[in-house]
Amino acid sequence: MRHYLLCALMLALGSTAVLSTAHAKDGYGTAGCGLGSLLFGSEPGLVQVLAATTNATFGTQTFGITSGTSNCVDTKASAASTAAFIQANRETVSKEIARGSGETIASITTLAGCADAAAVGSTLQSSFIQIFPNEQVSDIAVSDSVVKTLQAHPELACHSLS
Amino acid sequence: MLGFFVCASSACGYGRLGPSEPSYPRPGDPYVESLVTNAREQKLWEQPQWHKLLHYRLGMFGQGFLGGGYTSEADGIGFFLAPGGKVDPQAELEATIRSLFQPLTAAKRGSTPDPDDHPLCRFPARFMFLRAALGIDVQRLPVTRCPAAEKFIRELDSTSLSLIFSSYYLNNPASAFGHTFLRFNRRNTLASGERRELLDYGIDYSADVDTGNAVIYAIKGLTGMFPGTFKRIPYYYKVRAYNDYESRDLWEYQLDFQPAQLLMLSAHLWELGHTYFAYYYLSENCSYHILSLLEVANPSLDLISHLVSPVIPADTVKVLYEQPGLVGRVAFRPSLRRQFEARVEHLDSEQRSLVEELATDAEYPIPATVTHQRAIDTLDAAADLVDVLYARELVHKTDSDAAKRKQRLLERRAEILEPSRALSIEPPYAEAPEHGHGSHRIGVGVATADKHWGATLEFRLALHDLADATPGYPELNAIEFMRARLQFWRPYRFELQDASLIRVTSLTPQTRFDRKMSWEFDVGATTLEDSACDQCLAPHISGGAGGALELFDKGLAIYALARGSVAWTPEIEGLGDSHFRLGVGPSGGMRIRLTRGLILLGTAYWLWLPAQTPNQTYRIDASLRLRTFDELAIGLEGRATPNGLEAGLLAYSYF
Repeated sequence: MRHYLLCALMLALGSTAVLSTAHAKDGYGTAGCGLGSLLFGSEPGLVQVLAATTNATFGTQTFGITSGTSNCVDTKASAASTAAFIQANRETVSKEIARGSGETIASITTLAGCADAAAVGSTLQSSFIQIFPNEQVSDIAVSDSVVKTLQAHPELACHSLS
Repeated sequence: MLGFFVCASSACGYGRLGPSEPSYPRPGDPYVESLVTNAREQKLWEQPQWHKLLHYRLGMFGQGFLGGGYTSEADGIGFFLAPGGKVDPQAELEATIRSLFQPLTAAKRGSTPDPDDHPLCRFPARFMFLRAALGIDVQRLPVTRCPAAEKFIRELDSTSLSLIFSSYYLNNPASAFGHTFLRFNRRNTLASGERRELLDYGIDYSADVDTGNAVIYAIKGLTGMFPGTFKRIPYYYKVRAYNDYESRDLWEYQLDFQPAQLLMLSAHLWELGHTYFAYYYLSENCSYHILSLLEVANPSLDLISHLVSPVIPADTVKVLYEQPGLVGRVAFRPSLRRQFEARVEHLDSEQRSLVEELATDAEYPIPATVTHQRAIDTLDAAADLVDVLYARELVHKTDSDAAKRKQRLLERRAEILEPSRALSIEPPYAEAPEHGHGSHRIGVGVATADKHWGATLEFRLALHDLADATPGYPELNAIEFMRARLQFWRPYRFELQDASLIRVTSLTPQTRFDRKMSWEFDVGATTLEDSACDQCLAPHISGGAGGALELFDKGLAIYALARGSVAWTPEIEGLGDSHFRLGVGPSGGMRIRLTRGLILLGTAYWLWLPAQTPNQTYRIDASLRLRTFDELAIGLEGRATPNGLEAGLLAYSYF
């Protein structure tokens, strides 16, 4: 009997999860697709510190197979997925833009539909201070700046951003 | 467009949405019943593919018991179309056939019917299986479009599949034994032949944790009270979380599957998205279910039946190698810590000093004599170091000093308008999990103490200690789960010398760049070997923290910790009037790796027992262990306690 009650509870929990993603469907929400917000939700509690691993606490709604079309899961070439990628990889992206090269630069090139990763790297490197004016700039502001920078350089030919 | 999973070679109709017309066969219709008869003639429910798709396992009593003795591991009610479907493969198959022809109706009165709610669209993999086996006429189906299912399956379109292993991570229990998940390798090969792996999709099985209490978390995780679900996560999230945030290595095993098999797996993942499985940390855990997915893609694979509880992720990797030809290319993604260490290796002493300074003072001047290239290498290493030391604070934005430091280092780097060269790291193949000794261990041997002789029997459920052969495991980490050592002395004394529920030693050598702590933790029971009592058994909890140093590429390691211990037994006069024994004191050890299979290990502790009798105690252990053939080792061991010396010779078998 307890087993069926547990199932009913799970279904109820599952359906509320679906309801909450329905609101998030239009955009990726104020929290963005950043690693921090997805790892722990609002703030880390004791169990999150203990189970602080992607084994157990990744946002079920965002990554659930049937629970919606969050932009954070999209890896087709588009402006939205480019932005989601930058937010999720923010710490590495900032390093690789400073370096002018790297795997995240190559992935941004593909997601934005640009022609050449070396050219993208070099352009972003020379625009580092515009994209990262200080350490407090948010993940979303960073992704906006990168996308705008790429759009402002038509020679990069980033087709998926128009 | 129902696309690939219906229209393989024949022409199909498009877009017949809306309430079903009377010309479509209903359940009970002769056509539908003819399919059921066909299925019965073929005994289709006995096919391995059907069992894998429904995750049926044979129960303890085997076949012939209550409906064939099978139970499905899936726990969500909605996963089964027949009332008894969870335990009856035949009933579930026949119900599925009939459900395919169920009329498409709206979920609520007045709303438009959604084809994705129809059983055909909820269970596309079952449909593919039945269509191939029964030759179902797709013209007669009430639904031919499954927009959400098709989108999901299309997005997973891949050339191959990889199993990913993320290495041991002792800083939290859920990851202590590692983790495995799958990666669908998409068709995004560029003209250069490169692929953008970060843009692949990962498929993960994990528990959905709903509690903030550590004890409840442990209990629920062990007893299957958390639901486990499958998730689809872009691979870049996994790389950032494992490689960077947790500084764990990733091993990537490319597996041999045909496109049709990958299609079946993608369709099945859509089915699994609607349900959950009770998550059992020790058995039906992440690695177990990942293997069950591989069996769905290729039902002739026999992987799970080779596993013994507790299911250790590394064992699930070894099981892959038992299937000839299944594992292809193996790739390695180094953790951020390993990337930093590789950068430092290429730096000279001036650059290393600069890195050390820059990590705390991002404005530290770089002399004008340093060339651009050397400055680039220095700043790149310094930025990686800040990321390693402050991974959590940077992601959660809780340490503005660390963020400012990183920002300044990156600004200085960006001013040098030259790109960095790619870092190349030789994969440490000897550390790959498939090379590890077996996770279970049994030991038998002889012992002598105070002119008495005896026999020793030792058993350990999992996993590895500092004297075991090193391949496949982190060099300086030990994690032991359910361990017991029994002694039978002549004449006729039996002793449970030592037992542990869990015992962990995590040594991280201190370097000029990183002063991480080393620690140990032990919960179990031990026989007290001093004047407190006559060899009584006392449960205890002990823990210590301190530092470690290493030389010769971790060939020589020493460590020293401050340790505390609490034990309890009615046979002692403990602290105050209680039976508790409380002690604090130093503990430490030295480990010498003579070869990968020959380890010399010495450990010791001393405890001050304030206001107790006796008021101090100590223990020293020494062990020389040699791996002989593949899964056998011989150990020469000795022990010193206030009660005297003991020595023994044991043979260990790993399996």
